[in-house]
Amino acid sequence: MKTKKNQKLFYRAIILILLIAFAILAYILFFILPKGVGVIDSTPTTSGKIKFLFSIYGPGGGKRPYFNKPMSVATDRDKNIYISDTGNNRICVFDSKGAFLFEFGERGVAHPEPGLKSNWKPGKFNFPYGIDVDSETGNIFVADMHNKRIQVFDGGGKFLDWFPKGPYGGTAPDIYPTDLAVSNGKVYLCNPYQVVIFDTEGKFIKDFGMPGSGNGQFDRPNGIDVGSDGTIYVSDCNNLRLQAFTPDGKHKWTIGKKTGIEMKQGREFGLPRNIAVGPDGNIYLSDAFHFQIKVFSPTGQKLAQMGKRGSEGGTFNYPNGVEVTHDKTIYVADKENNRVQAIQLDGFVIEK
Amino acid sequence: MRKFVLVLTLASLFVLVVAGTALAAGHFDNAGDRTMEITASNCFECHAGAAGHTGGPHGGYATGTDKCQACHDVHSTSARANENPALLMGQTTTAACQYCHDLTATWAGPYNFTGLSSIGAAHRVVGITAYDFTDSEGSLNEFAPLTAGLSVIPGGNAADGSEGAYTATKNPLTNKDPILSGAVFTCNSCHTPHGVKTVNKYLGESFVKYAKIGSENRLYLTNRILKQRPNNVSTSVYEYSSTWCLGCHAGRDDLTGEYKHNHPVEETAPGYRLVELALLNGNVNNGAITSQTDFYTAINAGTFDGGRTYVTFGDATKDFTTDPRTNQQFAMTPTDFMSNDTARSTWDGYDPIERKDGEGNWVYVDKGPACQQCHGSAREVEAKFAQDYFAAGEPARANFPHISANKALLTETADDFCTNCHDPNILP
Repeated sequence: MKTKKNQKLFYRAIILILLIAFAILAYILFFILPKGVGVIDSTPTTSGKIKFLFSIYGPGGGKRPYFNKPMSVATDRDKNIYISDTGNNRICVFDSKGAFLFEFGERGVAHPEPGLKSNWKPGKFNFPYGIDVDSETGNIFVADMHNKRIQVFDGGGKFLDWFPKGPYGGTAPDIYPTDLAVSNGKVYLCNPYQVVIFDTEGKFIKDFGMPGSGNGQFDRPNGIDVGSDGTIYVSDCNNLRLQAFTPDGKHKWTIGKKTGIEMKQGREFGLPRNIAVGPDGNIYLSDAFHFQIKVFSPTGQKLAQMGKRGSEGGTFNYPNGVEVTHDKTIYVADKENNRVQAIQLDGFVIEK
Repeated sequence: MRKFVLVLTLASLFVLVVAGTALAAGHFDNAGDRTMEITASNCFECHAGAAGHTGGPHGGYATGTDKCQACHDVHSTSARANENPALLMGQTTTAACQYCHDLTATWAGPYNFTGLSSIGAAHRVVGITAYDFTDSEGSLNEFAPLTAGLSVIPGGNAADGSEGAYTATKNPLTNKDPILSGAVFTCNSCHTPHGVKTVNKYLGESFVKYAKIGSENRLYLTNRILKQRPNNVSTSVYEYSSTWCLGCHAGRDDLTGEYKHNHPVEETAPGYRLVELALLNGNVNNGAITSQTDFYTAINAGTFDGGRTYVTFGDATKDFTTDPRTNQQFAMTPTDFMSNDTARSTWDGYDPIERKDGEGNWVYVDKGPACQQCHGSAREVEAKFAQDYFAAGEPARANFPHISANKALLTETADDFCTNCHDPNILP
């Protein structure tokens, strides 16, 4: 009798051990290991006041395991990470820990050389650059730059629509979108000399801007985002400045200007590229030539600049894309390091 | 039995934990250094408007500019001076160029041409940001790095045409070998960003040669910051001509008999003497411009946007939306296809190349062809030359010589290509 009882306890213990073992394995598989075959560097380190969390170098498997000049990055409500892998003409999606989820897209040319046929099909890209996720629907919007269109996908990467399908209705002949932002049912994008606004269905709303260096004028803007009050922030790339506009496109303020050598010390930006409005309402800007992330208040006051050139965690090599999540994790499309970094700022400081 | 089950359980647990750890370790492997070396800075200067041969940081250095720092970093710790003797922040000049010339900051992105669906050939530059054309789709795979450059320069070797030219002397400034070696062919093998020692301006191809500014049609002339000494040839070449190409492609030299060649090329013939052609064809119809000298006087006086030169020409019905090139200058037949003009016996003092067929007919009249007459951006040459000079849709946007839909970087293919110059009616 006693033996039978002991035997029963023994087998229960074995079952318990096995359950624990499987639980550990499940934890490893689902929470530590990337889904699919990710390529991550997660060695904890700090660089100045930048706390490095991890880097993603690519899906890790398939035909193109590594990123090729990732230009922009976005996140959704679940903090999944969406990356424009521009050089590979695809979008890669990872979870908040950098585990690879899925990818979509391949090269397709909508506007070929005269005499050649277009090989574009929905979901194909020719230099996918700006990317953002509609927080309301989870749909993914991609600025397909060379194809002169915005493509829309559902949260799983299934193609939904593209626009504009003809003249977009604004002042420029067509769109040639670099960065874009989706906010409050609208899509804001940077044209070479304008800001163009559509609704999320692709209906043109308005555009503003023209070539030049005056207030409200642009020269190759490469970054755009919208504050909670509707303020439109534009990284006016070749004019070396950050501009802010009211929701209807009226100029509010400008930081930075192009200067000659005499004023170089006062130059605010090396080459401002993508921007992101953080949960704190501040504007996070990727400065490609200063190899820094810079932070500005909604009124244009500089709060922080951090970073230096390098290939180690927390350093950058021509950073281009930037995104900030609600837990203040900053994702940086570190273009020339062919990676996307997750970092956090250890306080706001002005690093030289 | 119990011992056996216990051992089996513990073993399974061990395997599971170890396997998980091993998998985790493997997936977190950084898989080597994937740092990409690239440099270029201050692309914003591309629209600075400084005086110089071109816009951007390409020349026009003065006390009020700081263009040098656009590409060079003298003292910063970020500079990779120990890796790059030119004090560029990246390893290669090609890499430096590519940061701006990717179409996000300038329209001039020769390796990022937007419309070419099928890449037939490319005048590739080696560098970390060079390009891999082996994409399974047969299309451009932007940015894919090449690990090695072309080791064979077409028409390069004068002896057998098989290998690189290597005909240039050492760089007199550095006493180094020519920069074109087949392995280190970079943007600056042909271009110089410094705004000096560049070839004379010419009417550029395609979209940059013509601009409509407001209601005005304007010409765009450029030197494309091409070096006077491509491949560091020992003698400066002032025109973008066949001689310029021969800095590397020596095996396609003139009819001197000293070089092997399978098609004669007039060494001294500028490939893009299009200003004269434009004048002759009445397409520069500004009353003040009646000669080449007038033309250059005018263009030097009128600058627009960063030193790039535009010229307004008055007759709105005459424009350069189509390529003004004809075979008039390089006709292999006695008359021009398009205009029926007879060939000129001389051109700017150059003696014509005279050849007759077996029956005594002139076959080679006027000058021989220039490299650029056959090798250029793809276009329907015959249609343009023989049918409708002002037909819409041509020329194609410039992609020569960087990438081309044609495998030999030719303007077109098949017999149409040959008969542009060789009139079938008078072939021997």
